[in-house]
Amino acid sequence: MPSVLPPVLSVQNLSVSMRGSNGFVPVLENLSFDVAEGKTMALVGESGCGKSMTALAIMRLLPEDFIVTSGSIMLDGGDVLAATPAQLRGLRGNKMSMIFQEPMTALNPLYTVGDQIGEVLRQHRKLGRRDATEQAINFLRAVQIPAAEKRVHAYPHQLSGGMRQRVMIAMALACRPKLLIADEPTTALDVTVQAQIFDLLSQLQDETETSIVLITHDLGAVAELADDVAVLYAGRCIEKGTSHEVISHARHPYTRGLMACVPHLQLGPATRNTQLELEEIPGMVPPLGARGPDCAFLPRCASAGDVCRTQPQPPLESVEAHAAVSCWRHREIAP
Amino acid sequence: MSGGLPALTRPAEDRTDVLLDVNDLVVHFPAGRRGILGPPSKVHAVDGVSFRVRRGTTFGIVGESGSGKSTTAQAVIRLIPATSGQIVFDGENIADFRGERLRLARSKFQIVFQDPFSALDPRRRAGELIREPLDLLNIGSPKEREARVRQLLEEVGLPPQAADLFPHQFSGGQRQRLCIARAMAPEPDLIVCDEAVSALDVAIQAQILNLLKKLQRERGLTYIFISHDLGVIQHFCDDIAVMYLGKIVEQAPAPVRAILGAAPPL
Amino acid sequence: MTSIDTPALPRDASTLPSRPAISPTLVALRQFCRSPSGVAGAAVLLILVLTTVFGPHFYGIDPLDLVDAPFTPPGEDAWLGTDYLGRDILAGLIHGGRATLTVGGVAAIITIAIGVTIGSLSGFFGGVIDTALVKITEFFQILPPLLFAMVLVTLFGQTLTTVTIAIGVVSWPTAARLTRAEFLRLRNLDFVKASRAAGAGNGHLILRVVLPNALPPIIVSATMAIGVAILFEGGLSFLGLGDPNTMSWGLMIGQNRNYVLDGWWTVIFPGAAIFVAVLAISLIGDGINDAINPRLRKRG
Repeated sequence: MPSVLPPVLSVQNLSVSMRGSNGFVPVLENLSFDVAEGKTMALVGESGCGKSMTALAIMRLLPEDFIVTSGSIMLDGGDVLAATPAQLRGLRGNKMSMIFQEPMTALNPLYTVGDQIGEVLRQHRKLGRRDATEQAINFLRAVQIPAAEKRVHAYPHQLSGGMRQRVMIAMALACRPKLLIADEPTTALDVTVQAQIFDLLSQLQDETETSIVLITHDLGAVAELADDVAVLYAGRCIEKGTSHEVISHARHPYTRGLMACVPHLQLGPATRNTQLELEEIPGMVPPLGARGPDCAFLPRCASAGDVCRTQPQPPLESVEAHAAVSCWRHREIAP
Repeated sequence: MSGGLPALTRPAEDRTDVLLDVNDLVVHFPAGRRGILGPPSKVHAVDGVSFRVRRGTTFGIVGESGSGKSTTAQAVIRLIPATSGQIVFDGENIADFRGERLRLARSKFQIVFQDPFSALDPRRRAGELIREPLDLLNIGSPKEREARVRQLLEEVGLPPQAADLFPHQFSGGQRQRLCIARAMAPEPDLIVCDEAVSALDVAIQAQILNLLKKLQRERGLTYIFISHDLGVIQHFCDDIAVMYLGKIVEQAPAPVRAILGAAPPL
Repeated sequence: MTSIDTPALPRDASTLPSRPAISPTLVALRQFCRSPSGVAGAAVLLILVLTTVFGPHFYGIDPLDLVDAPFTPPGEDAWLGTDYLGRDILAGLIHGGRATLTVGGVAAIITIAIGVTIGSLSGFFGGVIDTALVKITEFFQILPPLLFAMVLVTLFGQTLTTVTIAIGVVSWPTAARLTRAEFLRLRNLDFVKASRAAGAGNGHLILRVVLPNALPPIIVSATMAIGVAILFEGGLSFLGLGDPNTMSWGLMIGQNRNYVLDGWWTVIFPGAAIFVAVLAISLIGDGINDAINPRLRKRG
């Protein structure tokens, strides 16, 4: 069973704060999750919920004013937070790598894609120039780029958005990292291309046994690609579990709201309900610094009761073997 | 399937009910020359597009990026010069309008852009931005304009004191509300929503869609709604056109799912 | 106006700031006041301006009068000494500063006025207008500026007005290119389109929508243009093409340049004045640059 193996990535009680003019402001509070080998963990939430900060904390790429205040990040048995700069350079690219939302800005426009993939290989694998180019072609083939021998000499602007994202994936996987962090990898792409990229990711994952941390706001993608989900809201994990459990039986009102407010394409005969009002979550994510000890979702929650107003936000409570939720009223909301 | 709509889903189309009738719209962009003496080459961004939009309904245009859907919509409201074609808006061919006549006609068709961060002038306060169309088109007295700004803010769900804030003080969803208020200011008949919800978070997206729908109900507004998200289009639109490489390849009233079913699985 | 019934629409006011932010101009001003170099430059320039404006009232010697023996060294009789004709150097500095700073300021205004007009028309309209204006700009740019200015001054006479206009006319192409680039960047942004959709004509779009957003770099270049113009005036005067009837710092250096070894003070003091003024102005330019550039506000 996979649970016997130690997880590839283990994040425990991670808290990140921002250095503001009036002291420290919590950005991420007490986040814990494990990713086993070959599994996909999805972090879901609106912008401003701390998803990307989590990714940057794992990569040790947090912006200047942000610091990890507590917790631990263990990657393949090594402590990421204790790594020296030299060790970090070895970790990044070799053991963990990241793909970004906007593939145009993440690629250097002055080098061919072959050079950029080769660069990674020469840095970490100490390959020669010719071997690196040859390997680059293989990687382009692996990410299903047609005519890879020609495309290896193409510059980023000569490729479409989907192709660029494939190149990014090829670069990220070039050194067979244990962990791939995908930060909204398809948000900037067309719908048809999104599906292709997700397919590609899951196929590559099957072949390479890479673990993936997928950051997204698209619950459809979660259902398709992820094994486990953590729903973040205002820097706190409010629901966690296997993706099947969370999608089919969401317990937190925020997760339920997120799912209800996306209009899904329905095929088949017409039903009039498509023209009805969408469910909406009023208001927006509280900004940094405006988050008290009580439930962060309280001002937007339609199901809030007295217990929510008088008590601080409850810790994550395991509901079943594969699900945990942080809500006082989850039994009434989702029995 | 362009033009007439099947009678089984809707009452037969009344000709007077058509607010916008676009005929064979073509937009070319110059793309430099081939060699120094070669002929100037062109990109056919929109290549002979025709459609009708009925008053009070939402006309959806879907397509991948680069299919020409935004160009079509912006050419229809004369923000991008059309190379040829007719744009009959409320009985008049606005494709022929020039200068002052075009400027004044603009009160009848407005636009909401995709990115609420770049669609608002960062140096001006929200109230001033919403009042701009009223000032420019000389609608109402200065006092009435102030009242109208307040009323518009109320309509899009923002408090009156929002008028004094600068765009950077608002969140993405709130900015999109400002853009909608501004588009509503001259009481237009048609609003083009150019990927108006694509840049927003899902929860905010639902808020904005519901707001647009509420305004349509109350005001009888007509929308041209552009999106690449079929789910949103299906939810929001009465008629749908699918664009591919500058042409409309499919057109149907929304409840007919056949065209969407024929699309590649998404 | 129509009245509308608003069915309880959930207000999206949850996290609106209660107080409006100060305007971007004030933000930049406040930022400027925090930059040490900018404040130092502004203080020095202010002192120079005040001295040249009020100095003559307190130091009543005419700069063109022969007050003492030629080459009197700095001392009791003349604080900063006298020049080759026996004219008082300090009086020259005070009166000459007026002319020099005025030439600098006015020439910079001419530079910016021509440059911004041409650059904004060129960048905003594009097409044939752009091509034509860019060609004109390039023509002016390839002329060697000092030579061109000398030709203008020789042709139209050695007066301060001619010198000022000549400096303005030869130095506008840089401002035009900068403005054009800003306009090209801004004109396709959505908010410009939105204003057009709101019924704005070209005049409104150029002056009220695009130009205010293009101003920050233009202001920096205007500041720098003052310094450049002062140096230019110095250069022309040094070559003997300044206005011989109006005392200016450049003229002092120009007329005394042959006697540097006989009386260093005749040249060093006006030279130092030009140096300090130009340095102060470029410090101000740097300060403004610092004040407007960290305006990269976070998105969302």
